[in-house]
Amino acid sequence: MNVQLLFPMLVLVLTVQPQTLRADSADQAFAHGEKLLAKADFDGALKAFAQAAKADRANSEYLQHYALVNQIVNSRKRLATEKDAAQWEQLARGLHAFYIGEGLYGEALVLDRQVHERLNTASSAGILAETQLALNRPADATDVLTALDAQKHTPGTRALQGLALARQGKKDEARQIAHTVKLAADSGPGSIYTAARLQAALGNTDEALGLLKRCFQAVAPSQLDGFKNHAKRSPEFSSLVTTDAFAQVLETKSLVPESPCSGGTRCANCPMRGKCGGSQQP
Amino acid sequence: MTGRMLLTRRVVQAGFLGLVLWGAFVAGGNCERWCPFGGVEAIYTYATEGDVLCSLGTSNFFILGGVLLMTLLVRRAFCAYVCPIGTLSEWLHRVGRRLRLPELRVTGTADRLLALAKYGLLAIILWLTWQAGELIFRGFDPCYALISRHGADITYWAYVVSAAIVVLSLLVMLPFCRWFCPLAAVLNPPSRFGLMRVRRHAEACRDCGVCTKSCPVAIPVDQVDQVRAARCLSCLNCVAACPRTQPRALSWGPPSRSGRAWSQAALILIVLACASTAVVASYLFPLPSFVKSRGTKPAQTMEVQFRVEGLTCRGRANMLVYYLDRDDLYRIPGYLRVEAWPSPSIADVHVTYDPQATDVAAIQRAMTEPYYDAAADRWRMSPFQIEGFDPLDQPPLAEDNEQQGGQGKDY
Repeated sequence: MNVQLLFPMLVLVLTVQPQTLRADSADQAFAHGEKLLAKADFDGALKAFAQAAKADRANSEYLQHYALVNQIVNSRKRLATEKDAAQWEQLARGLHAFYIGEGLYGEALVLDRQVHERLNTASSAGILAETQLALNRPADATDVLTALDAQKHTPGTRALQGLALARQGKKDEARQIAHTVKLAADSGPGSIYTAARLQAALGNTDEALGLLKRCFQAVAPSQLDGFKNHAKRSPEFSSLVTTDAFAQVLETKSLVPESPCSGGTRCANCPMRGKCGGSQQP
Repeated sequence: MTGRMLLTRRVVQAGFLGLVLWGAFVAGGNCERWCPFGGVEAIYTYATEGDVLCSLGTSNFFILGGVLLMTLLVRRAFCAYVCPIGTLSEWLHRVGRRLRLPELRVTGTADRLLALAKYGLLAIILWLTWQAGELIFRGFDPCYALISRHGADITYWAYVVSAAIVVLSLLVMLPFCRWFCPLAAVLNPPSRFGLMRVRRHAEACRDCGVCTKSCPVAIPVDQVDQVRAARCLSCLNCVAACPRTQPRALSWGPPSRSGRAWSQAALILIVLACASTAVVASYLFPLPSFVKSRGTKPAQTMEVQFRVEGLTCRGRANMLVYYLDRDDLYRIPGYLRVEAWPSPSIADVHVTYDPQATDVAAIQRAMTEPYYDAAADRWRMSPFQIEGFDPLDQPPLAEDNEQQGGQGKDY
């Protein structure tokens, strides 16, 4: 081998190798952090994400994971001591969104129980029941919704109650509740979606798909994909997912305007740029 | 004389056109920031909301000021010496003559009626732009199509308009500048009171009418003592074309008893001085293109300056305010004002705050930490990175809000 080539090769190896090692160790630390996060070990995950972000500073995903988990760790600590009711609720909602997004339903259940004990509203009952349904505890969900004052019930919570009963095989009771679910013309997409799931659980395919289409039309464009993905994974629609009718409903486009800012990276292509000036929302 | 004056003007026109093309195609810069009409479009939003329309900057106001000053001195010389659309339009007309295409001379009532179109167009553009808070006509603008190198929001209408201007310019002298240019509608009122004027000395004039025929905007120069018409471009074509030089039948200059004529060089110097002063001033006195204030100013305030990545445009500046206005763990009760210079690379940001209520570290955290958006029920990751601020090296958040000045002082 030519000796003159040895030096440049050595330089190359010494330059490339540490970078590769750093990237490898960052990847490993990040993967470790994700595993710890899946086990709800937030402190461990935070350390692992910090290690990954320090090892590969060019990777913004590592830093973002670190920042978010750091925020979650801080929010969890603050939740125990926060005196201000509005601030406490905001912290709880943020934590709930994170837990559900990460699939940490056990953590969400503990939190949602606390929230419902404190607030006892249709919204808190609905959130708790949804988490219980996600954990396949429909009887618990039924208990929560049955205990809710009749005046507090909304079409959304009624539909959820019916869904919980249907999941337990109590179709007749579920059907009775389904008759009481009266969606208003301006009902939110969440309530319509729950009603669609209830109809699907009762085997009323046409009604279910009709409501699902109405739900998609009522969702803002930026949230439409989230609803569609949830529908594709939902156990109530599992028997319909492969049908043409369901595929056709999935093609539904939103009929409501987007929030004042799309949160995109460039204004030039933004379909909402005309309303940008009046908004402070990213 | 005739040839030299025309040649000089073409050289100046070519220089400015070359500068624009270099800026757009070689330097790849945002030439929109140097358009005086951008200043007209942006001024209302800046005055009422404290920010300029997307992709424009406060440099547009300086350029607009420079062009208005230029107009008060040398009438609409901007159109005859600087504007790339005017230059291309005039050159196309010359091509039309070379190709022996028929020349349509629109004068008198028809010319005056058509000239009103630009005022209507200006009113429509300003009303709709100010209502929308956005440059909604940009996609139709042939000048923007050129300087943005076919920008992302250009519609095919921009090319339809361009084609119409090209075809018309081959047949008619400066059709866009005379009848449809909204900037011309802005410049005409100050031009009416412009200092420098073309004067006709009746005792020397032989009434040959050559001056009137040479005027690109159809001013009947041979029928007036001095050209007061607001549409005068100070191109000096009439002075150059006049066959009477000893004594002069036409001269150009400020009002004076001696009737002393000024040279074209003086005109060009004034044009260059106004343009360069505007550019230099925009760098010397960089006004923020985004300003948002909140609360009442306490007795003592402090200002901190950051260099921020990710603050690319007005939308992002609004997003920065969204993060600064947050109401979670990282809220900063003492934040009073933000001034920003959004930029595709690194943006300058100045934050004024109450040192009794918050500190720099808290402001940095507020700008960079994720924020839970309750309305959308999702976490938003901050797109901003502050030069010299490492989120990984920050101490743990204090148990209470004392670190950030406590809960008591909210503005």
